Amino acid sequence: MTKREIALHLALLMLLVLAGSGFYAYQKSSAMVPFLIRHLDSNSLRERQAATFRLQELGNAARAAAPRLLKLTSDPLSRNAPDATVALSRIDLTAARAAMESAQTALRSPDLPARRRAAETLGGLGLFARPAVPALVAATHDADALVRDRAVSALARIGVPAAQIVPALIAALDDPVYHVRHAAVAAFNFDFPPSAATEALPTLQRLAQDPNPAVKQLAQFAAQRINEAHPIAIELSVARYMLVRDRESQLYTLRKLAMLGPQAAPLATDLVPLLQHPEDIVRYTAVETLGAMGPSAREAATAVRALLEDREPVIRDAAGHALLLMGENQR
Amino acid sequence: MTASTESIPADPRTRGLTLALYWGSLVVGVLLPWVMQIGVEVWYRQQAPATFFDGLYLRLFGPDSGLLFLSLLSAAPFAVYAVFALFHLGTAPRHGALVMRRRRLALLLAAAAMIAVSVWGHYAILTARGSTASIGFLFLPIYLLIAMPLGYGLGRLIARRWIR
Repeated sequence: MTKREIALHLALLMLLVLAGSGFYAYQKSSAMVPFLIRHLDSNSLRERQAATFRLQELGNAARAAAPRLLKLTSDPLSRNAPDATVALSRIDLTAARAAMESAQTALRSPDLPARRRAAETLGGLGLFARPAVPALVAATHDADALVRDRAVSALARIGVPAAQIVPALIAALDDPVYHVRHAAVAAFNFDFPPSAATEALPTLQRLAQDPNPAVKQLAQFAAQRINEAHPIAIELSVARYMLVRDRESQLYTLRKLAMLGPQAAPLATDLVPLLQHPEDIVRYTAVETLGAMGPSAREAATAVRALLEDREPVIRDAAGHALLLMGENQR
Repeated sequence: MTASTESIPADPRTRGLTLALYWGSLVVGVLLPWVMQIGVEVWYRQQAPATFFDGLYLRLFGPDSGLLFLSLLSAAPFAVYAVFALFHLGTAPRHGALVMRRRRLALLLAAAAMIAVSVWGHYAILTARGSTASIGFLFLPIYLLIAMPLGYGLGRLIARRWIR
């Protein structure tokens, strides 16, 4: 082959790679939002889920999809309502608040499937469901075991200071139904930072003899995890690293820090840059986390106060609430 | 592997094989992950083939990675192979018939080794029960890049022994 022929075939390959990259970038851009919204009405659950995940990834840029997603969250026939709820919280906070309030009301409804759906929906909203914590704590005493199970899982995934929810979760460890106990043990195993769960250790050690083998094994792991907990300084170092990563890692870490409450206050100033994040959900979760740290996070109060002028009303409300918890005035 | 400015003697058969290896390896690299996924869904998991294509276009560009990204990641070592084959076999005729035949066998064995490792890797990852098995897709290209010189080296050893 001549040198020219070789160069020609290499150039063709480069052209193909360039064209493919351009097409890929276009597919990941907000230009796809109308196309994705159309697929939210697909008959195929897999298509609806795929469209929901891609809208969630686009965040605020997919705001046009919020009304349709909001409808999906309350549609009893839609099997991707929990996914739609999570997506909504990344896309439009006002719509997500409407979904949260609707779920909070449904949690007290006499309609059993509605209560089950509501508990699951609230769990998917993360810190956004903080106002629903009292209703969820009440739901851990619901007559229906599946509602109790989902309420327990939801409480562990919201990310409020552990002291507010640990008593309810410890009570759930003694639930007569094994899958509710399993949900509670799983919460201590996977959701709680070990240093926030020490209060549950005696009950978990007792559950290590549970007649249900799954509960028994998970309780052993959870007890071991709490016993071998790293010092809080190490947990905070890991969190500091996670806070500068992608959006979902930031949200996950903020929830964990909120669970630690005042113990996480040494990281208060690390959260300040997140208060100017372009994505609404990150600013919202950061300000909620600072609120959960209470008066110990006062050094971030000035940055929180700036959010009282945020363009998103939900964030303005959260900033006011956080300042209150920090013992600061709003001016 | 040296591309001189002088023209290289024409050899239609080698030219055809070089282009077949160049474009063929790219096509195999891109398509093999899909063939493996469909194969595992249909024969291993006993799913109807249609379920794989349900929402496929949307899933291609999904969050975090997407199926397309994963398949392109697996194809990257095949692209390295393709460029190597283009230079190595494309310029072989000027080194004589013997070298050309030896390189041909070595490149074919390198391709075979890469395809075998890729098939094994995809099968192992796709049929694994662990939830974190898909991390293997990140390491598979490294295995393929190791398999390529090993297959090539074996081919050269065999060629030296049998092609005289």
